[in-house]
Amino acid sequence: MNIQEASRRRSERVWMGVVAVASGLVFTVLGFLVAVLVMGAIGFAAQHGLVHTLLGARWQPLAGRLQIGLFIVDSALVTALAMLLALPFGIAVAIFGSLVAGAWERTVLRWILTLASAVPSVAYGWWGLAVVVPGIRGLGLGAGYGLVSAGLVLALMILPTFSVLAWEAILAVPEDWHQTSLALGANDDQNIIRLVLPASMAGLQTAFLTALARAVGETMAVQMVLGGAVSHFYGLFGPGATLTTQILTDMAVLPVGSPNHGVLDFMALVLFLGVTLMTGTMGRQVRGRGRP
Amino acid sequence: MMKSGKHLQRLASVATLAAMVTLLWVIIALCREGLMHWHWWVLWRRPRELKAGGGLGPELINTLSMVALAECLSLPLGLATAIWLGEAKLPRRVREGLDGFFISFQSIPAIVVGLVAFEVLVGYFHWPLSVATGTLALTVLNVPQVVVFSRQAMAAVPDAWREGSLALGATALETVWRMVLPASLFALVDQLGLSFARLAGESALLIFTAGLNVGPHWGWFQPGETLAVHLWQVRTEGLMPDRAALAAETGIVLLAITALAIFGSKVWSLRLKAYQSGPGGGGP
Amino acid sequence: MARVKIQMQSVSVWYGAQPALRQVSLDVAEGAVLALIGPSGCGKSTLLRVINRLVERTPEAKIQGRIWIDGEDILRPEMDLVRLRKRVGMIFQRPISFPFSIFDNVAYGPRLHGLKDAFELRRVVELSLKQAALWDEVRGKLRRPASGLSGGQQQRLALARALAVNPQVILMDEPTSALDPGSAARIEELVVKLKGQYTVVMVTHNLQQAARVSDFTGYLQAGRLIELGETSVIFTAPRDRRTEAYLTGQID
Repeated sequence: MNIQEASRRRSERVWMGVVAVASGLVFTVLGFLVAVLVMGAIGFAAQHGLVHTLLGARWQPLAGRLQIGLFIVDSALVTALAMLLALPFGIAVAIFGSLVAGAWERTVLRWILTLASAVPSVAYGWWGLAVVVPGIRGLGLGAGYGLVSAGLVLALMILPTFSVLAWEAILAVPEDWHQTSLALGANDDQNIIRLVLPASMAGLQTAFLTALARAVGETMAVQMVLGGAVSHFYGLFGPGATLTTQILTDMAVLPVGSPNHGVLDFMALVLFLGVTLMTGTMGRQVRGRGRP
Repeated sequence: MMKSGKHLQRLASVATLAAMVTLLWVIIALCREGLMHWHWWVLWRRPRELKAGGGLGPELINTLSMVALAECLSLPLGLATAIWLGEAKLPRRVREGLDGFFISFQSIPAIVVGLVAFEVLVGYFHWPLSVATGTLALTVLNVPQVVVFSRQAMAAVPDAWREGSLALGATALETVWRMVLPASLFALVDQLGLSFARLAGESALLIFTAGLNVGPHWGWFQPGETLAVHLWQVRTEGLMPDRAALAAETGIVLLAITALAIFGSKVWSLRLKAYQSGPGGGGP
Repeated sequence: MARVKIQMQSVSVWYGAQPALRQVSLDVAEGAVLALIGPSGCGKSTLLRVINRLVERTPEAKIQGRIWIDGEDILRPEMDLVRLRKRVGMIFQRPISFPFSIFDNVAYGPRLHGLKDAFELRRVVELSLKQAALWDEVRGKLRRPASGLSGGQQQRLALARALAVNPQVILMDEPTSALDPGSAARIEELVVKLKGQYTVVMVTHNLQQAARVSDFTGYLQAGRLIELGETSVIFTAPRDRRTEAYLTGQID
């Protein structure tokens, strides 16, 4: 072994060490983040009871009534509404982009989607305040601030992300499959329903779950049009509060160190676990598919 | 029986058109409102709480500096982690588990990171709501994203190239440094632009870490309100008489930063890719 | 001589400004196997894909000329492509199985054309798999994913899937070039067996294969049909110098 080679080996070891230390730092910080959440949440649940907190709907933080059931319901409703709206449009955009559009349309569509997916959530919230809230009020459906408005804004916000991912999933169906299907006498509709959608199902599910996780975790766009009512359920067109918006609202009400601050950790952990559950199933989907 | 069988395609075209019109509506409405009242001085004037004529100069500087700093911190950390995940001798299951860990962290709600950053940095270490606090929170939010997109970019480099480099006597890290990273640079650059745009638009995370005010001058421990937070605050709680125009103007500046980051990185990335694949194509 | 099944009259195809097929005219007799040979890029695959009009999927593809199948002009604009492709099956170079079960792969075509009855569907699937000589290997495993089959089995599955819609013409685009010699031989046997019952047009790079299985052979070069005749004649006494040059390995 000559000197040059020895120094190369040494520098390989040194750099591998540097890389390992950096990733160790990353793991520590992220692990610590989870630990903080879990500790806070466990401390709170031990005091207030798990079931009681999750299923109750009374929220008076300063009076010590800390039940988050209503926020879970509102989160679920707003998200479901958004997904229900975004799903058909997103699939349509994906089908149009990958199977129908010409080169020119495809490029324009791609740019709009890329730009729209990076538009800040406060900008969508701004649009919600400027257009959706007055619109719903104009229809005579209440004050305009409410679950439906939030669902609409959120649907629009996740549409670009979902469309792009679904588009990629459909594009992954190889050209020879299309040709084989058409050569068997499939018309374009049958080709989409019987081949394209089933064959890209794993990718479409991943797209759906990614969008779902994003919708559940969104705070600002929802907060701006939701109205922030916590006392009881006011119906779909009435105001409400989700887990994310309520954490934001009560960070000031329940400062760190105050006795009931732990409920915020609890809510954050519920959110985090929910999202992890979604992306967890997604991981299995992706892995189950394997390499082509 | 329908003979043509193109009903779905027609339906998809109409739905796509509707969706694009609505998305463009958001962007155009914001631009229209902002441009109607556009004043160049908003770019450098300081904000005013109760009077008209305030600007967003400090917010602009805060946004650019905090996002740039957060990228400078999270890029090396994320890249190093991605390299370690790729090159360390780990059992397959462990590697997949760690990848899954980062994938689930990738979609962690920003408000959750904000809450923990608030508890630890502000609550425990008694840092003020400031540029430094906000930057660290942004870094924590961004690192998992960087890890995931770096892993994907590097995994897209054909194994044959890697083997070719190893067969020439390169070590594992030399291969990463001299072959894998340059070959995946275009994908990394592309993602960097998206990541910059995402951080610049972040607000939920920053309200309780960077704060809702600006200091008299830029400083690590000065309050560090950003454009996105400013837009939210002005639009929902603002007291100045020209708040509607100011919110839209803030939105325009924010959109411009976002668009510049994306378009810029796209152009750069496409150039890199064109250079790599050469005139005849044949790249990855 | 048997009845003419496919008749082409000065068919030309362009991709944009690029001509792929120039003025090709030929007849294929019912129940015969026609092999198309020629250097790569000579238009063999295009010739195949124009018969079921799959060539129209390529953007900017332009077709000129007339093609009749059983006397029906299939290039006319109002031709129902679904009906055409039901009559004309196709096997590709790479064995293609959809990401479904073996059963669903074979049942794909019949289901497209409205067959819903489970019993009848099963009968068609079984019959097609038997015709493709795959039945003995997959019976009892019809619900397993088709991707688990070997390359040769997948190619026979593709054949079964094509046969399940009961076509009259089968197009084969280098059906054995991606297979090992043993699997290739089985496909060849099948082609010989299908002879008479189906009209087969087959593109191949393998000259021995053309000689073994086909009744007629056509030689294409640069989009032109140089020569077409009985296989035994083409291989022993080609009339055209270019055909001879190709067969003796001077062009490839």
